[in-house]
This record gives sequence, C-alpha cells and structure tokens, in this order.
Amino acid sequence: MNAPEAKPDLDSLPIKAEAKQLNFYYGAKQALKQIDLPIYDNKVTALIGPSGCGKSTFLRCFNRMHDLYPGNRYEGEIRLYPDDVNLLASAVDPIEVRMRLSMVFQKPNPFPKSIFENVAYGLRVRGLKNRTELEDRVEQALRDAALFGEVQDRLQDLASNLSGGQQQRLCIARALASEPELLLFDEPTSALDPIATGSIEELIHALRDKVTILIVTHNMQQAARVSDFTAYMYLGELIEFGWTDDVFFRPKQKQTEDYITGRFG
Amino acid sequence: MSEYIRRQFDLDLLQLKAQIAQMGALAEQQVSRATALLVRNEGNGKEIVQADDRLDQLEISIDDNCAHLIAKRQPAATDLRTILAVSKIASELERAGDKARKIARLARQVRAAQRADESWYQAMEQFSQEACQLLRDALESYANADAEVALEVIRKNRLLARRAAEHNRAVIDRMVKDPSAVEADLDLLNVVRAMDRIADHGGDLAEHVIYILKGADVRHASLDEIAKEVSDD
Repeated sequence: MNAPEAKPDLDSLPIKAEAKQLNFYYGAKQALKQIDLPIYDNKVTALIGPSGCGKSTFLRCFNRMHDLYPGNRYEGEIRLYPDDVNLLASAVDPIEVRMRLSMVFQKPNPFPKSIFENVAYGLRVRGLKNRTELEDRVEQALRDAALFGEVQDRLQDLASNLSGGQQQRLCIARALASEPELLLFDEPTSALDPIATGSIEELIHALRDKVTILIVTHNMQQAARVSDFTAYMYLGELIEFGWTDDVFFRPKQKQTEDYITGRFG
Repeated sequence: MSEYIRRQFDLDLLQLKAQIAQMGALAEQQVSRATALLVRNEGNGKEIVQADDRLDQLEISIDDNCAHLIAKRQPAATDLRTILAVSKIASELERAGDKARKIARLARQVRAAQRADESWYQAMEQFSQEACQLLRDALESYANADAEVALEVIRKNRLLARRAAEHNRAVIDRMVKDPSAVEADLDLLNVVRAMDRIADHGGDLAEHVIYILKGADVRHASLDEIAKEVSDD
C-alpha cells in the first residue's frame, strides 16, 4: 500500500494558533458552531466552503474584527502560541491582538498615500522613527512581497497608481512590515486577473517560511495549489480538516467530496 | 460548479464508461476468437489482427478524452481518480487484446507442430473461458462500482496464475525428457503465458477499480491488505 509520500505526524508539528470550541453569534444568529481547528506553524491553511459557511467569519475572529459591531458575541477560545494567550479573552485588547496579526482583504485597499508611506504606516504607528531603519524595513517588506523591483524607482508615487495586482502585493508588504506572527488572507485574489493571481499565489507559497498563513478562498483550485492544510466548512461547522493532498484526493467525508467535485447543492 | 456544468461533466464521464464497455466487449471477443482458432482451428487470424487495430484506436481515443477532461474540468477526488484509472483500464484491455493476437499468431504453428494433445486444448479452452469471465467480472465491478466484485476478481486471478504454472510445469517436464521439439514446446508455453497474462489484465483492471472506489493504490499489495481496504468505509 503506497502512500504518495510520507507526511509528518500531525502531533509532531508545532501549532501556531488553535480554535477551541469556538462559537460565534451575529446577534441571535449563530454563525460558527463548536469549531476546533489547529493552525500549524509555518504552514498555509486554507478555509473552503460555500458562501455563508462561516469561513470569513472564522477568519475575522482572529483579529477581533467582529468587536467593531455591537451584538456580536464569541464563545470559546482562539489560543495563540507560544505564549498561549486567548485572543478572544475580554481582558485582551483587540489592538494588541492586531499588532501580532495582519490581514489582507479581498480588494486591495491601499491608503491614499505614497507607496513608501503605505508600508511604513504600521511601523510609524508602532513608534519607529529612525529614517534609515524605516527605509530598510520598508524595502525588506516590499522585497518579501515581490514588489520592490517594480516600484523601487517610484516609492513616493501614490499607491493608487499601481495596478490591481501590484496594489494587492503592496497590501501584503504593508501586512508583512510589522512582522506578524499570523497572516490572514480573505479571498486575496478574487478581484485580480489570472496573472496577478498567479503572482500572489506564488508569494503565499514563498511566505510560509516566514509566517503562518490562514487563507479563505472561494477558489478550490487555489486552496489546492497554495495550502498545506485544508479545512472544509459548511453552515458554520467544520466538516473536515486535513492535509490538502488528502482532502482533495481522498476526502473522508461525503460532504467534502460532494463540494470539491461540484456535486454540492 | 454550476449544476449544468456538473451535468455536462457527468455526461463526459458516462461517455468514458461507454467506451470502456465497448473496449471490454471487443477484448473479450478477441480472446474467444483466438481461442477458437487455437483449439478448433475455427475462424480467421487476419480478422483477429484487424480487430486488434480497433482496440488500439479505442485506447488512444479514451486517453485523449481523459486528457481533455483533466485540462478542462480540473477534477478532484473521485472524479480525478476515475479519469486516471480509466486511462489505465483502457491500457489493460488493449494489452489483453495484444495477448489474444499473440495466441492467434501462435495457433497455426502449435497446430502444425502436433505437440499438444486433446487434453491440453481442452485445458486451454477452459482457461480462456475463465480468463474471459475474469475480464467480464472486472468490467462489471467498474460499471457497477462494486469493490467486493473487484476483490473477488483479484482473488480468482491469483488462483488462475497457479493453474497456469501447473500447465507449464507439465510441458517443461516433457521438454527435459524429450528435447527434440523444444521450439514447438516453447510455443505451448507462450500460449499459456499469454492466457495467464489476459487473466492478469483482468486482475489489474480490478485493482484500478478499487483505486477509484477506495482511493487506495493496491497494486503490489497482498490479498489481505486489499480485502482490508475494500472493507474500510
């Protein structure tokens, strides 16, 4: 019996973050039900599922975005390691949480500032003033986002002058500049053409050496291409979680099989 | 994937299934005709060779359809396994057809050399029927998505392999005692070997069916291991 290739034992992999018995409510409506999900360190984990399954809701719990609206309620925990802090604890300041995580959204949303200032922004907020250090960190972030070569001669141009794909890579550079422990992507390529999508996917693949990544995607093939792990969600529940190879080739649950083969609904 | 697109895809998969059924029927017919030529000197070797070209064409057509489906639909899970396996199933049937052609080619020499007695011919006819039944059952396990039937095919093929070895043993013993007609006796061995390989293609086909249904690659696995995969949900 030949397994395609031996994968490391899951128990031996370090975990960066972990949802434990996570419930989430938009007012009276329960959007997440008893989610238990490990996010492995320096791996890409993809969340897939039909619209309304709760994957974006889940992602947004990590940086406490739901706190912005009254009536939203969390139950359970999201633990961030190695310090084992519960991100959802009321004693934990959401601003503190967001200092440790970065998020990239569906549509590129650069600030109406220069390319340089977009990336420097988070560093300035954190109190970094030294010009040389700022420049170094901005350059490094732009390099990590595979954008530096395209913009190095026009760092003072307005970010809005960049193409859609470049703007999204700028947003990734901005997210990386603050050296997050966990990078959250919410459908980062759904507004981009196939070429720009390709470069973002390549980037996500390369970035996992530096940072743990959680990505929500509507595009199943994208999940298959970029992720190490895949979680399939439906109606607020986690249906299946496993190595992407297994989920796409030999899913354990019939519901997962139906979704990824398009028999869903 | 929209329901319409999914339905189109299902139709494409059905078409592959129909092509496999067509190939299977043809391969089996080839084996029967080659056997009739060998055992009873019935039929025409040329016709068998011509029909084999048809099997070759069908294999190419199925492979081509599989490649296009992968390119256009980017299949996953069962769909992907089905397409990969169908391509291999077509190859098993094509090769079973090659063995039938080989038997047809040897038939005249074997009959002319008169080294085989009536019981050997009877044994070959019996073997051929069982090999054909094996192919039929393997194809049925594919058509009906029945892993239990596939497992039974694999089991029977291993029994047939032992029987083929016994037939060969008898010929080899004679070659040792009486080496006067080694060339003609080698033809007999080659016939048995071709028959045995036809059954093997049925067995291998059944392994591909288990791969589709269970997602487990059971080539080179023991019967117990295969049975375990089949009984696993």
